Amino acid sequence: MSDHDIRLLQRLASSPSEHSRVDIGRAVSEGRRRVRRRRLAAGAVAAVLVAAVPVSAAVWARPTTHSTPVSQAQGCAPGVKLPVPAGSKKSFVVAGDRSGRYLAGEIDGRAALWHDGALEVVAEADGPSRFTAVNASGLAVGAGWAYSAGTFTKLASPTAALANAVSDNGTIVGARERNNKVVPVIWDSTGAAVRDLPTRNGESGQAVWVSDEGVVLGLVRGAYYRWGPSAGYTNEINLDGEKNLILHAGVTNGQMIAGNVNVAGKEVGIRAFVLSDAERLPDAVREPTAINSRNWIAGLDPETGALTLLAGDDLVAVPSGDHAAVTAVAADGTTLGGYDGEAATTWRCQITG
Amino acid sequence: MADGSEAGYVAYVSGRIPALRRLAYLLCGNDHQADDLVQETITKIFVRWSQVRKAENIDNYVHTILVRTFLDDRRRGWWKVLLGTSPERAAPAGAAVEDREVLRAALAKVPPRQQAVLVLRFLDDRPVAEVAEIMGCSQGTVKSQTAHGLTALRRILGDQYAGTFTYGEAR
Repeated sequence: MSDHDIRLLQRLASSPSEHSRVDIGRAVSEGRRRVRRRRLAAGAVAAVLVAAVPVSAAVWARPTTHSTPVSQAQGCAPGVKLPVPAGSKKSFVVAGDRSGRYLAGEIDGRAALWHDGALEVVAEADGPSRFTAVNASGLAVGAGWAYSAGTFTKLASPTAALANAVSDNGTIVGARERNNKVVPVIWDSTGAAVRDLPTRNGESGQAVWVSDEGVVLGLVRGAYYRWGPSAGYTNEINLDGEKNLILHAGVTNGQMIAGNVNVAGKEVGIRAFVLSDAERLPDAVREPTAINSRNWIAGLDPETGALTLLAGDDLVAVPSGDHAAVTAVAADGTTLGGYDGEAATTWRCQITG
Repeated sequence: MADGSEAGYVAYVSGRIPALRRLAYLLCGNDHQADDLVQETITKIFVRWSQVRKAENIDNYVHTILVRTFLDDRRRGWWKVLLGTSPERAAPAGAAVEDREVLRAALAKVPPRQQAVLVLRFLDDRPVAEVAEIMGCSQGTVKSQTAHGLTALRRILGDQYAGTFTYGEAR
Protein backbone atom coordinates (compact mmCIF):
# COMPACT_ATOMS: atom_id res chain seq x y z
CA MET A 1 0.00 0.00 0.00
CA SER A 2 1.43 3.35 -0.94
CA ASP A 3 1.01 6.57 0.98
CA HIS A 4 1.01 8.30 -2.37
CA ASP A 5 -2.06 6.31 -3.41
CA ILE A 6 -3.84 7.26 -0.22
CA ARG A 7 -2.94 10.92 -0.51
CA LEU A 8 -4.10 10.86 -4.07
CA LEU A 9 -7.40 9.33 -3.03
CA GLN A 10 -7.82 11.88 -0.27
CA ARG A 11 -8.11 14.61 -2.88
CA LEU A 12 -11.69 13.40 -3.19
CA ALA A 13 -12.49 14.32 0.41
CA SER A 14 -14.87 17.18 -0.28
CA SER A 15 -18.35 18.14 0.85
CA PRO A 16 -21.69 18.23 -0.95
CA SER A 17 -23.31 21.53 -1.92
CA GLU A 18 -25.18 23.32 0.84
CA HIS A 19 -28.46 22.98 -0.99
CA SER A 20 -30.05 19.77 0.28
CA ARG A 21 -32.97 18.03 -1.40
CA VAL A 22 -33.36 15.63 1.52
CA ASP A 23 -36.91 15.89 2.90
CA ILE A 24 -37.77 14.32 6.24
CA GLY A 25 -41.51 14.78 5.67
CA ARG A 26 -41.26 12.80 2.47
CA ALA A 27 -39.29 10.07 4.26
CA VAL A 28 -42.01 9.87 6.91
CA SER A 29 -44.87 9.59 4.41
CA GLU A 30 -42.98 7.11 2.22
CA GLY A 31 -41.90 5.19 5.32
CA ARG A 32 -45.50 4.95 6.50
CA ARG A 33 -46.49 3.64 3.10
CA ARG A 34 -43.76 0.99 3.22
CA VAL A 35 -44.77 -0.12 6.68
CA ARG A 36 -48.32 -0.59 5.39
CA ARG A 37 -47.16 -2.48 2.36
CA ARG A 38 -44.38 -4.44 3.91
CA ARG A 39 -45.68 -7.75 2.78
CA LEU A 40 -46.40 -6.40 -0.63
CA ALA A 41 -42.75 -5.30 -0.59
CA ALA A 42 -41.60 -3.76 -3.85
CA GLY A 43 -44.27 -5.75 -5.57
CA ALA A 44 -47.76 -5.32 -6.77
CA VAL A 45 -47.72 -1.59 -6.96
CA ALA A 46 -45.08 -1.43 -9.63
CA ALA A 47 -42.11 0.83 -9.89
CA VAL A 48 -44.13 3.32 -11.86
CA LEU A 49 -46.45 3.83 -8.94
CA VAL A 50 -43.79 4.55 -6.40
CA ALA A 51 -41.70 6.92 -8.47
CA ALA A 52 -41.63 10.35 -6.91
CA VAL A 53 -43.69 12.44 -9.26
CA PRO A 54 -43.86 16.17 -8.88
CA VAL A 55 -46.71 17.32 -11.07
CA SER A 56 -48.46 20.65 -10.91
CA ALA A 57 -51.79 22.39 -11.69
CA ALA A 58 -54.05 25.21 -10.68
CA VAL A 59 -56.08 24.65 -7.59
CA TRP A 60 -59.80 24.24 -7.32
CA ALA A 61 -61.29 27.31 -5.72
CA ARG A 62 -62.21 25.18 -2.74
CA PRO A 63 -61.20 21.60 -2.15
CA THR A 64 -64.16 19.37 -2.86
CA THR A 65 -65.26 17.03 -0.15
CA HIS A 66 -66.90 13.71 -0.80
CA SER A 67 -69.48 12.49 1.63
CA THR A 68 -70.99 9.88 -0.66
CA PRO A 69 -71.56 6.78 1.45
CA VAL A 70 -70.17 3.47 0.29
CA SER A 71 -72.79 2.09 -2.07
CA GLN A 72 -75.03 -0.67 -0.80
CA ALA A 73 -76.71 -1.39 -4.16
CA GLN A 74 -73.52 -2.50 -5.82
CA GLY A 75 -70.45 -4.23 -4.58
CA CYS A 76 -67.61 -6.67 -4.96
CA ALA A 77 -67.52 -10.31 -3.91
CA PRO A 78 -64.64 -11.53 -1.74
CA GLY A 79 -61.47 -11.96 -3.79
CA VAL A 80 -60.51 -15.26 -5.38
CA LYS A 81 -56.83 -16.20 -5.46
CA LEU A 82 -55.47 -16.70 -8.96
CA PRO A 83 -53.89 -20.09 -9.73
CA VAL A 84 -50.14 -20.41 -9.21
CA PRO A 85 -47.77 -23.39 -9.52
CA ALA A 86 -47.68 -25.62 -6.44
CA GLY A 87 -45.18 -24.36 -3.88
CA SER A 88 -45.23 -20.75 -5.06
CA LYS A 89 -44.58 -18.31 -2.26
CA LYS A 90 -45.31 -14.81 -3.50
CA SER A 91 -47.49 -13.66 -6.34
CA PHE A 92 -49.29 -10.50 -7.32
CA VAL A 93 -50.98 -8.75 -10.21
CA VAL A 94 -49.36 -5.57 -11.52
CA ALA A 95 -51.72 -4.65 -14.37
CA GLY A 96 -54.63 -5.81 -16.47
CA ASP A 97 -56.03 -5.18 -19.91
CA ARG A 98 -59.13 -3.12 -20.69
CA SER A 99 -61.45 -6.13 -20.36
CA GLY A 100 -59.92 -7.55 -17.21
CA ARG A 101 -59.63 -10.93 -18.95
CA TYR A 102 -55.83 -10.68 -18.93
CA LEU A 103 -54.02 -10.01 -15.66
CA ALA A 104 -50.24 -9.65 -15.64
CA GLY A 105 -47.77 -9.73 -12.79
CA GLU A 106 -45.27 -11.90 -11.05
CA ILE A 107 -44.86 -15.23 -9.30
CA ASP A 108 -41.71 -15.67 -7.21
CA GLY A 109 -39.63 -13.29 -9.30
CA ARG A 110 -40.84 -14.52 -12.69
CA ALA A 111 -43.26 -12.72 -14.99
CA ALA A 112 -46.71 -14.34 -15.02
CA LEU A 113 -49.85 -13.90 -17.11
CA TRP A 114 -53.37 -15.05 -16.27
CA HIS A 115 -56.14 -15.30 -18.88
CA ASP A 116 -59.79 -15.68 -17.89
CA GLY A 117 -58.72 -16.72 -14.43
CA ALA A 118 -56.28 -19.42 -15.61
CA LEU A 119 -52.49 -19.21 -15.47
CA GLU A 120 -51.32 -18.86 -19.09
CA VAL A 121 -47.56 -18.58 -18.64
CA VAL A 122 -44.75 -18.14 -16.14
CA ALA A 123 -41.43 -16.90 -17.53
CA GLU A 124 -38.29 -19.01 -17.31
CA ALA A 125 -35.60 -17.98 -14.84
CA ASP A 126 -33.64 -16.18 -17.57
CA GLY A 127 -36.73 -14.33 -18.81
CA PRO A 128 -38.47 -11.24 -17.45
CA SER A 129 -38.94 -11.00 -13.69
CA ARG A 130 -42.28 -9.23 -13.93
CA PHE A 131 -44.89 -8.17 -16.44
CA THR A 132 -45.75 -4.51 -16.03
CA ALA A 133 -48.57 -4.21 -18.58
CA VAL A 134 -50.80 -6.29 -20.88
CA ASN A 135 -53.13 -5.31 -23.71
CA ALA A 136 -56.50 -6.69 -24.88
CA SER A 137 -54.78 -9.17 -27.24
CA GLY A 138 -52.76 -10.69 -24.42
CA LEU A 139 -49.50 -8.99 -25.43
CA ALA A 140 -47.68 -8.63 -22.12
CA VAL A 141 -44.51 -6.62 -21.56
CA GLY A 142 -41.92 -6.46 -18.80
CA ALA A 143 -38.26 -5.70 -18.25
CA GLY A 144 -36.83 -5.85 -21.77
CA TRP A 145 -39.27 -8.49 -22.97
CA ALA A 146 -42.62 -8.94 -24.67
CA TYR A 147 -44.79 -12.06 -24.57
CA SER A 148 -47.63 -13.05 -26.84
CA ALA A 149 -49.38 -16.34 -27.60
CA GLY A 150 -46.73 -18.61 -26.16
CA THR A 151 -43.67 -16.73 -27.40
CA PHE A 152 -41.28 -14.51 -25.47
CA THR A 153 -39.47 -11.89 -27.57
CA LYS A 154 -36.58 -9.77 -26.38
CA LEU A 155 -37.22 -6.12 -27.15
CA ALA A 156 -34.53 -4.63 -29.38
CA SER A 157 -32.30 -2.19 -27.54
CA PRO A 158 -28.56 -1.56 -27.58
CA THR A 159 -28.65 -1.13 -23.81
CA ALA A 160 -30.72 -2.46 -20.91
CA ALA A 161 -34.39 -1.62 -21.44
CA LEU A 162 -37.64 -1.66 -19.50
CA ALA A 163 -41.18 -1.76 -20.92
CA ASN A 164 -43.82 0.05 -18.87
CA ALA A 165 -46.95 0.10 -21.03
CA VAL A 166 -48.46 -1.34 -24.20
CA SER A 167 -51.36 -0.04 -26.29
CA ASP A 168 -54.08 -2.28 -27.72
CA ASN A 169 -52.48 -1.99 -31.16
CA GLY A 170 -49.14 -3.17 -29.83
CA THR A 171 -47.07 -0.02 -29.38
CA ILE A 172 -44.76 -0.45 -26.40
CA VAL A 173 -43.17 2.33 -24.33
CA GLY A 174 -40.69 2.37 -21.49
CA ALA A 175 -37.12 3.40 -20.92
CA ARG A 176 -33.57 2.37 -21.63
CA GLU A 177 -30.14 3.20 -20.35
CA ARG A 178 -28.06 5.66 -22.33
CA ASN A 179 -24.79 7.09 -21.02
CA ASN A 180 -25.72 6.51 -17.38
CA LYS A 181 -29.07 8.17 -17.91
CA VAL A 182 -32.53 6.70 -18.27
CA VAL A 183 -34.21 7.84 -21.48
CA PRO A 184 -37.85 7.32 -22.46
CA VAL A 185 -38.31 5.05 -25.47
CA ILE A 186 -40.93 3.62 -27.80
CA TRP A 187 -41.12 0.41 -29.84
CA ASP A 188 -43.69 0.64 -32.65
CA SER A 189 -44.21 -3.11 -32.34
CA THR A 190 -42.67 -6.09 -30.59
CA GLY A 191 -40.07 -6.61 -33.32
CA ALA A 192 -39.37 -2.95 -34.03
CA ALA A 193 -36.16 -1.09 -33.31
CA VAL A 194 -36.19 1.07 -30.22
CA ARG A 195 -36.61 4.83 -30.65
CA ASP A 196 -35.57 7.31 -28.00
CA LEU A 197 -38.17 9.95 -27.18
CA PRO A 198 -36.75 13.45 -26.96
CA THR A 199 -36.63 15.28 -23.65
CA ARG A 200 -35.68 18.86 -22.99
CA ASN A 201 -31.93 19.13 -22.51
CA GLY A 202 -31.70 15.34 -22.68
CA GLU A 203 -33.12 14.93 -19.20
CA SER A 204 -33.70 11.46 -17.77
CA GLY A 205 -37.22 10.09 -17.84
CA GLN A 206 -39.49 7.14 -18.55
CA ALA A 207 -42.52 6.67 -20.77
CA VAL A 208 -45.36 5.15 -18.71
CA TRP A 209 -48.44 5.13 -20.97
CA VAL A 210 -49.24 4.99 -24.70
CA SER A 211 -52.47 5.25 -26.68
CA ASP A 212 -53.44 3.51 -29.94
CA GLU A 213 -52.92 6.89 -31.59
CA GLY A 214 -49.32 7.01 -30.41
CA VAL A 215 -49.74 9.67 -27.76
CA VAL A 216 -47.26 8.89 -24.99
CA LEU A 217 -47.21 10.05 -21.39
CA GLY A 218 -44.05 9.87 -19.39
CA LEU A 219 -42.35 11.03 -16.27
CA VAL A 220 -39.50 13.42 -16.89
CA ARG A 221 -37.74 15.07 -14.00
CA GLY A 222 -40.61 13.87 -11.87
CA ALA A 223 -43.35 15.61 -13.87
CA TYR A 224 -45.79 14.16 -16.39
CA TYR A 225 -44.72 14.92 -19.93
CA ARG A 226 -46.69 14.27 -23.11
CA TRP A 227 -45.29 13.36 -26.50
CA GLY A 228 -47.47 13.65 -29.60
CA PRO A 229 -49.82 16.56 -30.25
CA SER A 230 -49.12 19.52 -27.95
CA ALA A 231 -46.05 17.91 -26.50
CA GLY A 232 -44.88 19.31 -23.19
CA TYR A 233 -45.28 19.08 -19.47
CA THR A 234 -48.87 18.52 -18.42
CA ASN A 235 -49.95 19.31 -14.88
CA GLU A 236 -48.96 21.27 -11.86
CA ILE A 237 -50.62 20.30 -8.63
CA ASN A 238 -51.49 23.16 -6.32
CA LEU A 239 -53.74 22.55 -3.36
CA ASP A 240 -54.74 24.59 -0.32
CA GLY A 241 -52.36 27.36 -1.34
CA GLU A 242 -49.34 25.07 -1.74
CA LYS A 243 -47.84 24.96 -5.20
CA ASN A 244 -46.03 22.33 -7.26
CA LEU A 245 -46.81 19.55 -4.83
CA ILE A 246 -44.89 16.30 -5.14
CA LEU A 247 -47.14 13.44 -6.21
CA HIS A 248 -45.85 10.50 -4.18
CA ALA A 249 -47.69 7.77 -6.04
CA GLY A 250 -49.10 8.18 -9.49
CA VAL A 251 -51.29 6.21 -11.88
CA THR A 252 -52.60 7.35 -15.24
CA ASN A 253 -54.87 6.19 -18.03
CA GLY A 254 -53.61 8.86 -20.41
CA GLN A 255 -56.45 11.28 -19.77
CA MET A 256 -56.33 11.46 -15.99
CA ILE A 257 -53.63 11.15 -13.38
CA ALA A 258 -54.26 10.17 -9.77
CA GLY A 259 -51.98 10.02 -6.80
CA ASN A 260 -51.38 11.45 -3.40
CA VAL A 261 -49.60 14.54 -2.21
CA ASN A 262 -48.46 15.85 1.13
CA VAL A 263 -50.15 19.12 2.06
CA ALA A 264 -49.14 20.72 5.36
CA GLY A 265 -47.95 17.37 6.70
CA LYS A 266 -51.09 15.48 5.70
CA GLU A 267 -51.41 13.02 2.85
CA VAL A 268 -54.18 13.91 0.43
CA GLY A 269 -55.36 11.94 -2.61
CA ILE A 270 -55.86 13.90 -5.81
CA ARG A 271 -57.00 13.35 -9.35
CA ALA A 272 -56.57 15.63 -12.32
CA PHE A 273 -57.39 15.43 -15.99
CA VAL A 274 -54.23 15.93 -18.02
CA LEU A 275 -53.65 19.69 -18.42
CA SER A 276 -56.39 20.44 -15.89
CA ASP A 277 -56.73 21.34 -12.25
CA ALA A 278 -56.32 18.90 -9.42
CA GLU A 279 -59.26 17.75 -7.33
CA ARG A 280 -59.16 16.15 -3.92
CA LEU A 281 -60.10 12.47 -3.74
CA PRO A 282 -62.24 10.94 -1.00
CA ASP A 283 -60.21 9.47 1.86
CA ALA A 284 -61.33 5.95 0.96
CA VAL A 285 -59.11 6.09 -2.14
CA ARG A 286 -56.56 8.51 -0.76
CA GLU A 287 -53.81 6.26 -2.07
CA PRO A 288 -54.78 5.49 -5.69
CA THR A 289 -53.32 2.25 -7.08
CA ALA A 290 -55.14 1.79 -10.42
CA ILE A 291 -57.30 3.71 -12.86
CA ASN A 292 -59.41 2.39 -15.75
CA SER A 293 -60.39 3.97 -19.06
CA ARG A 294 -63.58 5.41 -17.48
CA ASN A 295 -61.51 7.21 -14.84
CA TRP A 296 -62.67 4.86 -12.12
CA ILE A 297 -60.01 4.80 -9.47
CA ALA A 298 -59.12 1.95 -7.14
CA GLY A 299 -57.25 2.86 -4.02
CA LEU A 300 -56.96 2.42 -0.33
CA ASP A 301 -57.40 4.35 2.86
CA PRO A 302 -53.97 4.22 4.47
CA GLU A 303 -55.47 4.64 7.94
CA THR A 304 -57.51 1.46 7.72
CA GLY A 305 -55.97 -0.41 4.78
CA ALA A 306 -59.49 -0.88 3.35
CA LEU A 307 -59.75 -1.09 -0.45
CA THR A 308 -62.35 0.89 -2.38
CA LEU A 309 -63.27 1.46 -6.00
CA LEU A 310 -64.43 4.97 -6.87
CA ALA A 311 -66.78 4.33 -9.81
CA GLY A 312 -68.16 7.63 -11.00
CA ASP A 313 -69.27 9.20 -7.73
CA ASP A 314 -69.89 5.89 -6.00
CA LEU A 315 -67.56 4.35 -3.48
CA VAL A 316 -67.64 0.57 -3.72
CA ALA A 317 -65.94 -1.48 -0.99
CA VAL A 318 -63.53 -4.22 -2.10
CA PRO A 319 -63.24 -6.94 0.56
CA SER A 320 -59.66 -7.86 1.47
CA GLY A 321 -57.20 -8.58 4.24
CA ASP A 322 -54.41 -6.30 5.39
CA HIS A 323 -51.66 -5.06 3.06
CA ALA A 324 -53.83 -5.54 -0.02
CA ALA A 325 -53.97 -3.45 -3.19
CA VAL A 326 -56.04 -3.35 -6.37
CA THR A 327 -53.72 -2.82 -9.35
CA ALA A 328 -56.04 -3.53 -12.30
CA VAL A 329 -59.61 -2.38 -12.99
CA ALA A 330 -61.53 -3.54 -16.07
CA ALA A 331 -63.26 -0.83 -18.09
CA ASP A 332 -66.70 -1.97 -16.87
CA GLY A 333 -65.47 -2.50 -13.32
CA THR A 334 -66.64 -6.13 -13.25
CA THR A 335 -63.15 -7.56 -12.79
CA LEU A 336 -60.38 -6.30 -10.56
CA GLY A 337 -56.87 -7.69 -10.11
CA GLY A 338 -54.32 -7.18 -7.40
CA TYR A 339 -53.03 -8.62 -4.18
CA ASP A 340 -55.22 -9.61 -1.24
CA GLY A 341 -52.42 -9.47 1.32
CA GLU A 342 -51.38 -13.05 0.58
CA ALA A 343 -51.26 -13.71 -3.17
CA ALA A 344 -52.35 -12.63 -6.66
CA THR A 345 -56.11 -12.15 -6.51
CA THR A 346 -59.07 -11.25 -8.68
CA TRP A 347 -62.38 -9.77 -7.57
CA ARG A 348 -65.76 -9.83 -9.35
CA CYS A 349 -67.85 -6.73 -8.86
CA GLN A 350 -71.28 -5.53 -9.81
CA ILE A 351 -71.24 -1.87 -10.76
CA THR A 352 -74.50 -0.27 -11.78
CA GLY A 353 -72.97 3.11 -12.65
CA MET B 1 -45.11 4.80 13.68
CA ALA B 2 -46.74 2.12 15.76
CA ASP B 3 -45.00 2.95 19.04
CA GLY B 4 -45.58 6.68 18.72
CA SER B 5 -41.87 7.52 18.55
CA GLU B 6 -42.08 9.57 15.36
CA ALA B 7 -40.95 12.71 17.16
CA GLY B 8 -37.80 10.89 18.28
CA TYR B 9 -37.14 9.80 14.71
CA VAL B 10 -37.55 13.33 13.37
CA ALA B 11 -35.32 14.77 16.08
CA TYR B 12 -32.60 12.18 15.45
CA VAL B 13 -32.66 12.37 11.66
CA SER B 14 -32.77 16.19 11.60
CA GLY B 15 -29.48 16.33 13.44
CA ARG B 16 -27.77 13.67 11.34
CA ILE B 17 -28.59 14.82 7.81
CA PRO B 18 -25.39 16.88 7.30
CA ALA B 19 -23.19 13.91 8.28
CA LEU B 20 -25.24 11.50 6.19
CA ARG B 21 -25.06 13.81 3.18
CA ARG B 22 -21.31 14.08 3.51
CA LEU B 23 -20.80 10.31 3.68
CA ALA B 24 -23.24 9.78 0.81
CA TYR B 25 -21.41 12.42 -1.24
CA LEU B 26 -18.07 10.74 -0.60
CA LEU B 27 -19.56 7.45 -1.80
CA CYS B 28 -21.40 8.81 -4.85
CA GLY B 29 -19.32 11.85 -5.78
CA ASN B 30 -22.47 13.56 -6.97
CA ASP B 31 -24.87 15.86 -5.12
CA HIS B 32 -28.06 14.47 -6.56
CA GLN B 33 -27.22 10.83 -6.16
CA ALA B 34 -26.01 11.59 -2.65
CA ASP B 35 -29.29 13.27 -1.70
CA ASP B 36 -31.26 10.40 -3.23
CA LEU B 37 -29.17 7.97 -1.21
CA VAL B 38 -29.78 9.91 2.01
CA GLN B 39 -33.49 10.20 1.24
CA GLU B 40 -33.72 6.44 0.80
CA THR B 41 -31.63 5.84 3.92
CA ILE B 42 -33.78 8.01 6.19
CA THR B 43 -36.89 6.35 4.76
CA LYS B 44 -35.47 2.95 5.71
CA ILE B 45 -34.56 4.32 9.14
CA PHE B 46 -38.20 5.36 9.60
CA VAL B 47 -39.43 1.88 8.68
CA ARG B 48 -36.97 0.24 11.11
CA TRP B 49 -36.93 2.95 13.76
CA SER B 50 -38.09 0.64 16.55
CA GLN B 51 -34.92 -1.46 15.98
CA VAL B 52 -32.62 1.42 15.11
CA ARG B 53 -33.32 3.35 18.31
CA LYS B 54 -32.36 0.31 20.39
CA ALA B 55 -29.00 -0.17 18.67
CA GLU B 56 -25.88 0.09 20.79
CA ASN B 57 -24.34 2.60 18.40
CA ILE B 58 -27.17 4.23 16.50
CA ASP B 59 -24.91 6.29 14.26
CA ASN B 60 -22.92 3.28 13.10
CA TYR B 61 -26.13 1.32 12.52
CA VAL B 62 -27.47 4.17 10.43
CA HIS B 63 -24.23 4.41 8.47
CA THR B 64 -24.49 0.68 7.84
CA ILE B 65 -27.96 1.22 6.35
CA LEU B 66 -26.59 4.00 4.15
CA VAL B 67 -23.62 1.96 2.91
CA ARG B 68 -25.81 -1.09 2.22
CA THR B 69 -28.28 1.07 0.34
CA PHE B 70 -25.39 2.40 -1.75
CA LEU B 71 -24.15 -1.14 -2.44
CA ASP B 72 -27.67 -2.33 -3.31
CA ASP B 73 -28.06 0.53 -5.77
CA ARG B 74 -24.75 -0.32 -7.41
CA ARG B 75 -25.83 -3.95 -7.71
CA ARG B 76 -29.29 -3.28 -9.03
CA GLY B 77 -28.16 -1.16 -11.92
CA TRP B 78 -29.48 1.62 -13.96
CA TRP B 79 -33.23 1.35 -13.44
CA LYS B 80 -32.73 2.26 -9.82
CA VAL B 81 -31.59 5.66 -11.05
CA LEU B 82 -34.20 7.90 -9.52
CA LEU B 83 -36.25 10.17 -11.66
CA GLY B 84 -36.76 13.76 -10.84
CA THR B 85 -33.19 14.91 -10.60
CA SER B 86 -32.23 18.19 -12.13
CA PRO B 87 -29.14 18.58 -14.30
CA GLU B 88 -25.85 18.41 -12.49
CA ARG B 89 -24.63 21.72 -11.23
CA ALA B 90 -21.75 22.94 -13.31
CA ALA B 91 -18.44 21.76 -11.93
CA PRO B 92 -15.94 24.50 -11.16
CA ALA B 93 -13.10 24.69 -13.63
CA GLY B 94 -9.46 24.00 -12.94
CA ALA B 95 -6.84 21.31 -13.20
CA ALA B 96 -7.39 20.08 -9.67
CA VAL B 97 -11.04 19.56 -10.46
CA GLU B 98 -10.19 17.66 -13.63
CA ASP B 99 -7.90 15.43 -11.60
CA ARG B 100 -10.65 14.86 -9.09
CA GLU B 101 -13.07 13.93 -11.83
CA VAL B 102 -10.61 11.43 -13.28
CA LEU B 103 -10.02 10.05 -9.79
CA ARG B 104 -13.72 9.89 -9.07
CA ALA B 105 -14.38 8.04 -12.32
CA ALA B 106 -11.63 5.58 -11.44
CA LEU B 107 -12.96 5.06 -7.91
CA ALA B 108 -16.41 4.35 -9.35
CA LYS B 109 -14.89 1.45 -11.30
CA VAL B 110 -13.46 -0.20 -8.18
CA PRO B 111 -15.72 -3.07 -6.98
CA PRO B 112 -18.45 -1.54 -4.77
CA ARG B 113 -17.47 -3.09 -1.42
CA GLN B 114 -13.83 -2.16 -1.90
CA GLN B 115 -14.92 1.31 -2.94
CA ALA B 116 -16.99 1.68 0.24
CA VAL B 117 -14.07 0.52 2.39
CA LEU B 118 -11.69 3.01 0.74
CA VAL B 119 -14.16 5.84 1.23
CA LEU B 120 -14.85 5.01 4.88
CA ARG B 121 -11.16 4.57 5.73
CA PHE B 122 -9.45 7.32 3.80
CA LEU B 123 -12.06 9.92 2.91
CA ASP B 124 -14.19 9.62 6.05
CA ASP B 125 -11.15 8.86 8.26
CA ARG B 126 -12.64 5.98 10.19
CA PRO B 127 -10.55 3.40 12.03
CA VAL B 128 -10.48 -0.17 10.75
CA ALA B 129 -12.60 -1.47 13.64
CA GLU B 130 -15.37 1.01 12.91
CA VAL B 131 -15.28 0.29 9.18
CA ALA B 132 -15.59 -3.42 10.01
CA GLU B 133 -18.65 -2.74 12.15
CA ILE B 134 -20.33 -0.62 9.49
CA MET B 135 -19.52 -3.10 6.71
CA GLY B 136 -20.56 -6.07 8.86
CA CYS B 137 -17.27 -7.94 8.34
CA SER B 138 -14.02 -8.70 10.18
CA GLN B 139 -11.15 -6.25 10.52
CA GLY B 140 -9.04 -8.62 8.46
CA THR B 141 -11.52 -8.38 5.64
CA VAL B 142 -11.45 -4.59 5.84
CA LYS B 143 -7.65 -4.67 5.51
CA SER B 144 -7.70 -7.03 2.55
CA GLN B 145 -10.50 -5.09 0.85
CA THR B 146 -8.44 -1.93 1.37
CA ALA B 147 -5.40 -3.49 -0.28
CA HIS B 148 -7.43 -4.91 -3.16
CA GLY B 149 -9.25 -1.61 -3.60
CA LEU B 150 -6.06 0.43 -3.75
CA THR B 151 -4.53 -2.06 -6.19
CA ALA B 152 -7.63 -1.85 -8.38
CA LEU B 153 -7.56 1.92 -8.24
CA ARG B 154 -3.90 2.03 -9.21
CA ARG B 155 -4.50 -0.40 -12.07
CA ILE B 156 -7.45 1.62 -13.40
CA LEU B 157 -5.57 4.89 -13.16
CA GLY B 158 -2.43 3.32 -14.61
CA ASP B 159 -4.28 1.80 -17.54
CA GLN B 160 -6.32 4.79 -18.47
CA TYR B 161 -4.64 7.85 -17.13
CA ALA B 162 -0.95 7.04 -17.09
CA GLY B 163 1.01 10.16 -16.41
CA THR B 164 -2.03 12.23 -15.54
CA PHE B 165 -1.17 12.47 -11.89
CA THR B 166 1.74 13.85 -10.06
CA TYR B 167 2.34 11.79 -7.00
CA GLY B 168 3.24 14.53 -4.59
CA GLU B 169 1.29 16.79 -2.35
CA ALA B 170 -2.25 17.48 -3.37
CA ARG B 171 -2.53 20.66 -5.34
